[in-house]
Amino acid sequence: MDQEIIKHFEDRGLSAGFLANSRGQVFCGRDSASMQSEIAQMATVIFETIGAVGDLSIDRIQIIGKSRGVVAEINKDRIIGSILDGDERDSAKRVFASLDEIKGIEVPVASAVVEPEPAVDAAKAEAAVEEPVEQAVEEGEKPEAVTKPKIRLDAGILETMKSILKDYVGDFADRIFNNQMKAQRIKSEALHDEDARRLIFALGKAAGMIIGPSKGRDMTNKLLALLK
Amino acid sequence: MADLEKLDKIPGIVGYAVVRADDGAVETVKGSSTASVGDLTAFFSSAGEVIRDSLSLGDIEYISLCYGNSRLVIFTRGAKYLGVEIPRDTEPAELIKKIGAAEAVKPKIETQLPRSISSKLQQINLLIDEFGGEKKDHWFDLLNQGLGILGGDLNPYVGVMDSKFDFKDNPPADKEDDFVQALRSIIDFLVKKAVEEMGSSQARAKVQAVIEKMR
Repeated sequence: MDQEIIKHFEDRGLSAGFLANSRGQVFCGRDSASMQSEIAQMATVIFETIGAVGDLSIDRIQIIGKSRGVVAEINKDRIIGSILDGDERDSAKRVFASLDEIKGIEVPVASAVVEPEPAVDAAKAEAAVEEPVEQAVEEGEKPEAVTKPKIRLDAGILETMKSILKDYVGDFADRIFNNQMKAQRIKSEALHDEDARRLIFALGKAAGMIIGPSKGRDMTNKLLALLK
Repeated sequence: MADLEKLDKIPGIVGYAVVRADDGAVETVKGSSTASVGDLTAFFSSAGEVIRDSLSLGDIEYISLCYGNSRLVIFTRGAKYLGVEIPRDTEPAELIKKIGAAEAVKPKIETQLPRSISSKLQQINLLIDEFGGEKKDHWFDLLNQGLGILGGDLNPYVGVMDSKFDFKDNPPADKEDDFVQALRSIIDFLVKKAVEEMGSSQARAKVQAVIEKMR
């Protein structure tokens, strides 16, 4: 599948596309093949830097130099993008548009298997999740971590979260909640456990500024309990 | 190095950090960003240098990171890195152009605020005067903290300039109600902090003094 993404890139005129994952695998396009080890190094640096800055969910990066640029989208465990040369080095829109088109085509093995429909309660969803398909591990590759299933949640959980937030911060709740929904780019109609977790930590941090860090932590734990 | 006060006045900037390029030390962090823009600028400027050398990118024009609804644009100014947080939908090149223009001439944007907004703005400035006295910086920090969690779409339009909380640009008409509500929440937040810090009777007296001034 990963190599197919590179082909989709090439079909869209991006011949220096690349895909690197956190297991050290790198797939390159025609014009980026000679830079495979440098791309692997870049991916390692980006993953490590993201790890160092903590729980911020960085999903896009552009590093634009005077002669060449790197434009990429970041998921938890992979970086997909392209190297752009000369006047094209800042054509981020083109790369991201191609990635959006590819996403429409791509059905990654893990998400195709583990995302249950329709949405259900968190607890029920956990039981309903199928086992992820075991993928072959190539020689010399790091053993693959078990893919954590992505669990779809009922949007009703958001109302429960808002109500708990209100118990802690009173009239500030609506604004904090709406601002964090927007800031974390959470869509109630497609809510997953990882979105909810991200939202909970953001709400805990925001509430902590009003009610103090220990009460903020207490609220965070109460909200996290909703996901169990 | 850019005159930092000019950055405070550029519409669209939510917050920024200045980091020394030689050792990655964070020198300044300003604004209402909730992300750690200082750490992000320090870590990613250093990572960018490694990637630049490895992939022969040439001198870095900028590094852009997107997270949530925000974007951090990192670029060099002399021997320092500047990391500027802006809304995600703003293009990095647009920001760098704005900063370049601001460095060349003093930006002069005449803001015309609806009464509903200007009275709240006045109230916030008077509260900060009353609560802060000679030590207003602490209250501007609290104001930025409040903006970070309660401001939302308001944040790219406002900032602290010349020791005064003000608008950097005219607010869109369709955002008036939302902005008034945001400013009202900020006032409540500041009053809550005043009660915590100086007790309810002293805080109430200071709030009363502001009400008198606004009559």
